[in-house]
Amino acid sequence: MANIGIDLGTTHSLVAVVIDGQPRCLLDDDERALLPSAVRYDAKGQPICVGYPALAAATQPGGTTFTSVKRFMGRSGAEVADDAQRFHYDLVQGDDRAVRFVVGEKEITPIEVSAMILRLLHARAEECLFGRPGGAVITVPAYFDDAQRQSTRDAAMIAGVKVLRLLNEPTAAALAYGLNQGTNGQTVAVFDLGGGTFDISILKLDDGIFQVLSTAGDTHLGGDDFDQALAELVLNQAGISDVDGPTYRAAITAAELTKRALSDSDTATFKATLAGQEVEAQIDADSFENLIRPIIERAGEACRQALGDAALSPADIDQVVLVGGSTRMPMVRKFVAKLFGKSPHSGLDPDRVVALGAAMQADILTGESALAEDMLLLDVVPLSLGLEMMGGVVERLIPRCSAIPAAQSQTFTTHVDNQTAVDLHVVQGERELVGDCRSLGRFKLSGLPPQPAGVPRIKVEFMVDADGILRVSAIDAATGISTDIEVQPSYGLSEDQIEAMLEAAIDNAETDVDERLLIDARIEAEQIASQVAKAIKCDPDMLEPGEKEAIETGLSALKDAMAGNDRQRITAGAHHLDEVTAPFAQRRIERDLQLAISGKAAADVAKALGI
Amino acid sequence: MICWQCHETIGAPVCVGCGALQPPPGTADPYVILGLKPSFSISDEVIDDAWRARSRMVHPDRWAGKSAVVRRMSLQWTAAVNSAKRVLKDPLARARFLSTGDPNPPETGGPQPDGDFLEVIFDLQMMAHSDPDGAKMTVAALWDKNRTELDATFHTWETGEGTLDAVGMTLAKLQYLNTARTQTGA
Repeated sequence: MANIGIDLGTTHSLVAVVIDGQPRCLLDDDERALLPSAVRYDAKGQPICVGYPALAAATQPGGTTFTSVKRFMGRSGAEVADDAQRFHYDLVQGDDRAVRFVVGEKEITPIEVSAMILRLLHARAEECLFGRPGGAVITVPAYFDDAQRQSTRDAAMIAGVKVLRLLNEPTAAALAYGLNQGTNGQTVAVFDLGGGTFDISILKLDDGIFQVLSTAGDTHLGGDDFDQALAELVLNQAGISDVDGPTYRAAITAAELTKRALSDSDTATFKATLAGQEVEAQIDADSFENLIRPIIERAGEACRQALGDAALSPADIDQVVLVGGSTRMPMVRKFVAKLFGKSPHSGLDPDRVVALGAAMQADILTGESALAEDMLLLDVVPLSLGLEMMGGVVERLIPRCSAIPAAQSQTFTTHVDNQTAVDLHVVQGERELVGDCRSLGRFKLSGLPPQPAGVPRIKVEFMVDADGILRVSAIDAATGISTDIEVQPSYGLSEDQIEAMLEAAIDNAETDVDERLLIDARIEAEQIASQVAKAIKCDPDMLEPGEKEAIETGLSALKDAMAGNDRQRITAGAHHLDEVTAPFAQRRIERDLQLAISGKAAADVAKALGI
Repeated sequence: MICWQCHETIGAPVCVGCGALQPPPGTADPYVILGLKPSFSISDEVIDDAWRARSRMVHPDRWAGKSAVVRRMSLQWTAAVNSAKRVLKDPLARARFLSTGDPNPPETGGPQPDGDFLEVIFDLQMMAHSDPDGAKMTVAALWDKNRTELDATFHTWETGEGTLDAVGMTLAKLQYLNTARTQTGA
């Protein structure tokens, strides 16, 4: 069973696999590798389609097309309120634990939307490989925090995709590049500017080992932001202030086309019908650059931080590699060249390189890889992990850029006599105060034996696994008994919620099957009904007395059944009609046969006689 | 060390005989975990090389298709290897480990002796093996010197921030020396 690599991107997603020692992207029926990360839901909140058709329907009423949901993964409603407003997604208010979109009567999480995309890519792989893939390596931005990674894992679980590893996107890209170039002993900076996220990773390539020295980024910075800035500029200039969802979509689509055109020429025309108004605007490269410069500058800050963490200067970087569709923009290339003092290079398709690297890692994880026997990726945790101490100060247990897997333990005690539980608050971030960091979860250690204050010694261990996901365990050092840990994640789904979604996904799959059977039954009934109607019209004289009435009754009963959704009634109606029509049909067949034989015979005689 | 699977005597995380990953060592000694000889003067290259070699053996990617038990051992091994690298690459943490035997000695919160002093302590410990009597005498002399220093500071107490720090530093040094006294029997 082959393992697959999936690049679950903000704007596009891909699936790749290693075939005959080469990583390849798998194509859809129209030979396209990219799947737009878009999912269409109908007005009732039922998913209808994924990818290109979802995108095509985005400006249509009667449903919602979700795009860029990666921006919402592992976030609270408050954190993404601006994005939601921009995209015209309705959020469930009042619950800040995880974002939920409202469509009709239904609430949909970004995790479920992502699961739809993953399911489709998995199915594509299953079709291309003539069998179910063993497991998948799914890429995530290196700068994704714990909640965002966890959400990605949950999406895979709901989609029924077995996750072998969450792999950082720049690391995946380095792997794809590493094999194609003689990079041994080099220090490489991977500049990954995608649709919605930015990562910078600095790696040392040594004898097959890809060691990440440092990583930094912004999970809210990408090509999307350029499109939005341009769309908003044009909408403003056109004086359109009351922007509804479809109008905004149309503006974004036109902005994206304009942006792409500006990669090849100095000027481009923004053209769209917005709110019933034909809008046309000439955009030149310079003014576009001025518009997006503040956005790109944010990438510069992250680059400087990554260099600092690796204790390197730009001159120490041997190569700069560009990844992500947004690095096609000349301005981005110029910016990177200036920042690192050398021209960046991009030998591989920046849209595909991450998926190719993921496929290679998936192949390595089979343990039988001929491609990369001695390849090993050594990655780091992007953000420090710590605990809230007295007074709201953060105690850092695992500093950022620590190699993963990483473990660190800390011993706690009680403050009150006979205290049987201790609360721990885990945070992620670089700030000193809890309020400035991102809360990951609250852990409750319970079941401690009642003892005087300060006597119990509870050893709490933080373990960051190879996916960059934190697990917490605790042991009572005195008794050696592991303490019960109750986890309340700050963002994302609880285990119960995931289970409910899994069940819903299975139920949905059953609904799908039922629906397909119903459609099949209708088609069959339709064929029978039309044949019978045609027959009584053609040969009314061949009907026995009373037969016509019986057939017509059966026909109208079937049409009634077909108007409803009861598959069994339709099948029964078709069966009954078939039965009452059988003698009539028999006679017609016999007559046709007679005609055919006699006709043929006559022709033969004529032929023999030479007429 | 005896391999848990084939009972071969081995000295690495992976058995040379049957290729089985061994359980993580029951020690937090970073030198043992990375398979290095204890020494304060150790270069970053040596540490990195040992870390990479160990990572190649124990990293979860190498054991991805194996049983849950083996995967857990690989996770614990790699975490231990990464922690060991972190301690050894930091000269201060390295010296602290060599003088206390604890890779994560509890923070006292007060001032900490500098690397030079810790190196002296470390040399003492090396000396304790090669020249126990000499070590005993050196520890005793250092102890007396710091006691005198402490007394002197108390006698000439001046209000001001510097004095408190000086006292804290001397106390911290005395703590290390006390450990050394017990170890050398001084």
